[in-house]
Amino acid sequence: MSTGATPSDAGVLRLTLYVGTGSAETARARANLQVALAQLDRPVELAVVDVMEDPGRAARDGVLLTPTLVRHDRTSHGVLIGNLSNREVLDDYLRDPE
Amino acid sequence: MHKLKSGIPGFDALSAGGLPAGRVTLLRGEPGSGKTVFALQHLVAGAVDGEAGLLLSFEEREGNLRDSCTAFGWPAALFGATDSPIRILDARPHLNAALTGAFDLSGVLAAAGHAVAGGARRLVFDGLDGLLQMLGDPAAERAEFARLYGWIEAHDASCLITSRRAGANASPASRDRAQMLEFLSDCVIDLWNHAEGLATLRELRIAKYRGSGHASEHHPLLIGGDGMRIGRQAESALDYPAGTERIGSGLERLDTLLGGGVLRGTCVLLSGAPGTAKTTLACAFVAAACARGERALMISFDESPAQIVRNLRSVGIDLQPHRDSGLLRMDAQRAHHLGGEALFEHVRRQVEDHAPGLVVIDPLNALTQLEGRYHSDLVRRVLDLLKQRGITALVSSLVADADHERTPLHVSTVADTWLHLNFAVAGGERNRALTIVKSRGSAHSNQVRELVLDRSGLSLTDVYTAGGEVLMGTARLEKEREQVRAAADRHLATRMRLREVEIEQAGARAELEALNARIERLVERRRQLAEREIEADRDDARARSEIASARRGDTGAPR
Repeated sequence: MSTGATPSDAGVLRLTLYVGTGSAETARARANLQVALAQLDRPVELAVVDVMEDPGRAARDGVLLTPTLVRHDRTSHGVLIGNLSNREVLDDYLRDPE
Repeated sequence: MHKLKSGIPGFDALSAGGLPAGRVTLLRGEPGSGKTVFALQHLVAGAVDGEAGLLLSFEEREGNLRDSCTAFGWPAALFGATDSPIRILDARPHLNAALTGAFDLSGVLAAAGHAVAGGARRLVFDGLDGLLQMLGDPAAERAEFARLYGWIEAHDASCLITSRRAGANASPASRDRAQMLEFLSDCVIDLWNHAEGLATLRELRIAKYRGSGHASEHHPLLIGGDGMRIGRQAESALDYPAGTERIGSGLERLDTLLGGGVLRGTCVLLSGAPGTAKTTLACAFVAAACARGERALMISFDESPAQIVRNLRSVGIDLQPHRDSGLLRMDAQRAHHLGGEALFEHVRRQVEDHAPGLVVIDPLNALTQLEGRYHSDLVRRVLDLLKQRGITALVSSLVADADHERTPLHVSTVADTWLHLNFAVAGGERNRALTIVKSRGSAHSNQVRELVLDRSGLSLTDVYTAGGEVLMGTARLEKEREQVRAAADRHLATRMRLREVEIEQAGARAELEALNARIERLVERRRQLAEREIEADRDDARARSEIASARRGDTGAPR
């Protein structure tokens, strides 16, 4: 999942959000994410993958539950599963550790 | 309804053909009850038949599943590669995942859809209940169920879902989940796994099968080295070949009493208290069979093969050459370690592997004493198994006396020949007595014989009765000696009497001779008398004639 970004690059935050077509949770996740991202002070690259449209990708990337948010800099970040309604966890995830 | 062969031997017979094709089957059971094995074996069966499959594992590591397959000896070529007929997908929620709110199973269904598009026809959702539980909200669970249901309707694949069973203390959420899973499924199968004594008893039951007939009882389930199978597969009733060939026991006198030997394919029961030489007698039969070139199988629950071989050598019977040649297989087991059904399977496999004409089970008590709900006809099933194959069965049983009541569960009625061994105590000795209690198919003596064991083997001795009592041991030997003496005395007496008669006869002959001589003399005398008479007459006649001629002329003699 890592795209080899270096720690000193505190610039672009690369995220992928895996979603399922027409799922209610997907809509909520996207909304919640937009709110959180708006409050971030850095550029963000967000990719949205619809697992129903690209199932091979989902299997390859090991994403079976949606929505799943994956951060692409350090692998140790893990992933977030769910509609991102837990704001605290989401903010924590999007923040860089000190 | 179209059905898929399950791949589990024996299951298709219970389910009128297997699992419902294109529908959902639910497998319920606690961890360790065999759900995943069933599912994998089902996929393997499909793959072998050219049907690709996908297993989505929500609980187990993919590596563990692969290891199971290897352990059962299923072809490795069926798994592993991306183009293998069976794909195993690790669908466990990401290890480093944090839950931030409600989610859904779109990804799961996407992966499943992808597989179906790629040709998979059999899908397994292994441990789905765990995943659903993670949703954490009954409403969400219901929504996902509906989505799953919709997906299944829309796709042409046969699905197998495995889940834990909701126990008596289950939470309302668990119970709801269980109900929804059941509703979703056309076929529901329960698996159990209990401890029975030292053994494990596994069972399977088809709880529901929409639109199909099915067996509804519990059936024993076995997991062996090559996979899972239903125990107790349909056994045909009373369909045995009945021959007339008799096989020898190695004891000539016993064979004679049995009308030439034991009928091949029948069951012989050897009963008796411990130490009465049942095993020894059984081995005599075995040695006789192997000497004829026949294969024999001896299943022993008490003694090791080495022990038995050594003990038999002391009576002049050597089983080792027969083991070496491969004719005799000796198998020793501790029955209670295997449990009833597994034991039956073990016996069946031994019989099929070795193909014997004679099987010894020593002692049968090991089977009858097993705990468990199946043991009461375990013995009958084993004997049926042997009878159907025309195998002569020799079973030994520990009983104190030849009383029908005390023999193990109707074995005495199932057995065709029943020999009872006991000790007869008399004159300060214990000797072995063999009684033929029953011998179906031949007339038999109802007397007791003494069974003698010595360095040269086993033998039955003749019976001596004195004053209505059977004599054995030294009493018998004394009696034998006495009889020999009595015979000698009799011979002597006879010879003497013979001599006397001879003398009398000689005397009588002498008398006869004397009388004959007398008769001769008398005959001679008569002859002489007769002669003299004739002479006298002649003389008279001459005299008259002379006188007449002297007086010629003046006698009145006619001219």
